[in-house]
Amino acid sequence: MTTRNQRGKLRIEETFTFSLLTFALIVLIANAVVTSRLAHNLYEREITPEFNREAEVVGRTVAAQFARAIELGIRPEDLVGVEEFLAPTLVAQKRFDYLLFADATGKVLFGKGRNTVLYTEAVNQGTISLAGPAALALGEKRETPRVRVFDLGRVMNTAVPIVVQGEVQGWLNVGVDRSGIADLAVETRWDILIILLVSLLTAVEILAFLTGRSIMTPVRLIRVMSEKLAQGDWSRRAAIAMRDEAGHHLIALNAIIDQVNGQWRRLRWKADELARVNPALAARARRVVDAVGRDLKFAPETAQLERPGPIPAIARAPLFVYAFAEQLSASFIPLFAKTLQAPDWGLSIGVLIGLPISVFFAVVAASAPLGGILVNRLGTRWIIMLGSVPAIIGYVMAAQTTTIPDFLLWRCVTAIGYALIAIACWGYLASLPNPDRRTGEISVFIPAAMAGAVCGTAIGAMLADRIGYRATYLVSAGLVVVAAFLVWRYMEPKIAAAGRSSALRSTLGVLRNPRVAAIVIFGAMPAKIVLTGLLLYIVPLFLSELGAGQPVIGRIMMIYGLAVLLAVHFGARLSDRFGTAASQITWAGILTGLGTVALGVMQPVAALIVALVIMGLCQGIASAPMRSLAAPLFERDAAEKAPATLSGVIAQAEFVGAALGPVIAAILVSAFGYSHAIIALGGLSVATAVVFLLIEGLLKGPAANLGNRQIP
Amino acid sequence: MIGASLTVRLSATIVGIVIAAAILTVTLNYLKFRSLLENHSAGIYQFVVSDLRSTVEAGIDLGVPLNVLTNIQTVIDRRNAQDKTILRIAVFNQSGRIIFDTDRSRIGEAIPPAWRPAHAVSEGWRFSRGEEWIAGAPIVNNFQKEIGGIVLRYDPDVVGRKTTSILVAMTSEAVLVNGIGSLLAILGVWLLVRRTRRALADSVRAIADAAAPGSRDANAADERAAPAERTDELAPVAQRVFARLSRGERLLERTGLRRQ
Repeated sequence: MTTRNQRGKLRIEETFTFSLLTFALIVLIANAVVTSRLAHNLYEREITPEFNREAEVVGRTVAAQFARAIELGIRPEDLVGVEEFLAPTLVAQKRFDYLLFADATGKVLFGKGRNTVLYTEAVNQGTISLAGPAALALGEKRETPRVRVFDLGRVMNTAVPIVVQGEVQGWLNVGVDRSGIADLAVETRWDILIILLVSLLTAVEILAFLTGRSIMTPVRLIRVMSEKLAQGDWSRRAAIAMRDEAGHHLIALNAIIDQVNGQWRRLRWKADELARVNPALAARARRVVDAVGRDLKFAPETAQLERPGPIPAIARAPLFVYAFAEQLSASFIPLFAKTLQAPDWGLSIGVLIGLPISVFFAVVAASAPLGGILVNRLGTRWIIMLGSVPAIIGYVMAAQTTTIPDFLLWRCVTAIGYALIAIACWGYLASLPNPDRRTGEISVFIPAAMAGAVCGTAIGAMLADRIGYRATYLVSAGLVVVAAFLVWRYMEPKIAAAGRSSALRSTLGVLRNPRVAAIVIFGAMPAKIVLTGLLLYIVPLFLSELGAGQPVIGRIMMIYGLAVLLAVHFGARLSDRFGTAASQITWAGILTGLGTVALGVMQPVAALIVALVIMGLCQGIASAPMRSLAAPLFERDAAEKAPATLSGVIAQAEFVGAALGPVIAAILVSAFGYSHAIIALGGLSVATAVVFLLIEGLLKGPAANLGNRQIP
Repeated sequence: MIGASLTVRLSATIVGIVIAAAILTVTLNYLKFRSLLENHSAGIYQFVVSDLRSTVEAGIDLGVPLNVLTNIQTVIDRRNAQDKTILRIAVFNQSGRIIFDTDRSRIGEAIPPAWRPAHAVSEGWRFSRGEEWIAGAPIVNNFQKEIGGIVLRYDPDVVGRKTTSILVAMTSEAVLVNGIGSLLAILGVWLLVRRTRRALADSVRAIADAAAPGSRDANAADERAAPAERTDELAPVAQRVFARLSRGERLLERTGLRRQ
């Protein structure tokens, strides 16, 4: 298939994915709008009466105290210390705006709280009318005074009668702040928006996987087969995985290949027969056969199967689901650790609750070389499935744990699984044909992992809020089962990354190059120290201390992932087009640091958001250049291995940095408090970026020689 | 081999995602409503318990022992009568023996262990275990010593009825919206895939035609045509190969006949 069809292929993939996403988006938005409206109506219908009931119950209790005083002969207007009496109730019932003691006509005698003026205005305007009939008509029965509710806009006023010997002596008015309901509706809308976003990102990933598998793979196979046939190679049949439209096309191709080969075999048989019957004609018959078969290749007996090669999209969906599963707990690991029994290890509680994050990444870094060896021996599919086992066990056991040491242990087990899975996914991408590798890394691994992270962080926070931390870990385990199934079902079994058997030797070899070492030590590692220290450790604890709920923490943390997703392609293109990789890494470090200064000048929550957005954009912009800057530093003959090895080394450095981040952050927090600790992490980012700039400036000249060192 | 067509597979994916999103939305909203209502109800009963505790402690502050405060029985009976969602109120002493109870037959029994927290909680407690929805508070004397407690058991159906109605309302709306949306999505996918299906079907037909006996014996001059550039141009390629093979066969046949 040629240009036209290549164009056709691109059009099919892009148009399909885009159009399908549009359909999904329309339905999801409709769903979100209707659910949001319904949730708001339900709050009004179901929650408002509950708030009023609370006002009534509390009002009756308080009113009973006044009734007792009046029964003792004290006139309502002579009561003393009423405001002081009402104060504790107002403090305890946070949704109450005010408590007012009014006389039988509704005139305020005593009051405490905000917005009491609303009540007075309502009485003056006649919206509230509490005065009963002055006298009963002959034969008319006095009704038992009832609680009355008035809608004053911002406040619902519940008037509870203070009844003494059947007569209303006054009213206790409870003002319930309706903004509480509005806040709940807003909170619900946020939840729905997050679910919409997560659904869309999930749709993108699944459709990318599906179009990759159902369209791209068969279209690629059709193209390969067509090229072979056009070049006269009729020796291979297409391996057919699906009996859809593309599958039928391949079946038709196979049918014609079979016919051609059949006719070829018949021709040869005839030639053989002719030669056998009349040996004098053998040479002539052979010439005819040779002439017919010139420039053509036929299957000798049975045609071999032509299979589609690996494509990046196949690794995408499982990778997304794994990242989703792991990040479900991202917003609450230190908060969960805080609820567990702490060991007496002589460490501060701040460091102890950061250890689960640090230990996780340390184990990932330590397990990565083993993962490389296993991937080389067993192939990516089996290693991903093997890695799923400790991951599942780790999540399930983390859900049962009661002490920090146990939690650390099970996070270690999960980390082993995570390392195997991550390395196997890298291995899969490294096994792609050369032009697809870098594309795979930039367009598959990072976006899929970050999309999973965004979805996982946001949904995990919501789940933790609804079903608790422990149950959320069980959801993670369930997602890993789903991902393992996808891998088992759809990933080719025998794909292994080349050149990863000597991972440690490769790492040391790569780091012998000073410019690469500078990228790793002053670029990749500090970026992850700041990331895990700030995002995974400080943000949940700081926001929790500021009174933010779990969903809010998740939403704010999610911003980082979204920023990376937005910036990563831009960073890669910028670096490719203008060759600004070193500048991008430097400025990313400097700007990440400067972003944290917001903590000194803004309200903390807003400042955290600013810092995370800047950090996400900067790290997204610097992600691809870190690899692209280092790649050309290798000798040409190693270039074949370079992408996989180099990415592995940078990833390992990132894991080490990620392990150090929470410990450094915990120490800084205990020494300086949250805000200054964040600024200190920013300072670290600036300092390492400047060092990187200096080293890069110094070594850029002799780099041509230094860089050409052989990688083992 | 999987038999579903592209339309079915893509439609199923979109519908699956939409349904998953709807289930997630409904479930999370439902859980939010439930937790809000449960906390809210518990807060109300906690307030009632706190108020009763203040009444009891006011008597104790006057120096009257807990078991002698006989008006407590009246107070808890009255409170129980005021709110039909309150199933039972009991006051127990330091050893956990019930001394006042709206269910008088229980007086003298030990308070169920599940109704008390394992550790002392000065501000009170609340929890739900199955059908046992409990709010409680300790009773403390002038010397800040815990001398007993009050527990209130309330009707879980208060919350259950509301949450069920909320779930039904949300589910029915979600089914309606997503049902319509899914049908539109399926229609959209069908329209989108139609052209591609047609193109692939035409291509398959062209290839099949090329393999048909009549086409195979096409003019050998076709052999000199330009190489195939598109899938649907594979038909002429196949025709050329068939023509060459047929010509070869004919040559062999003629050679054999001539010799005979």
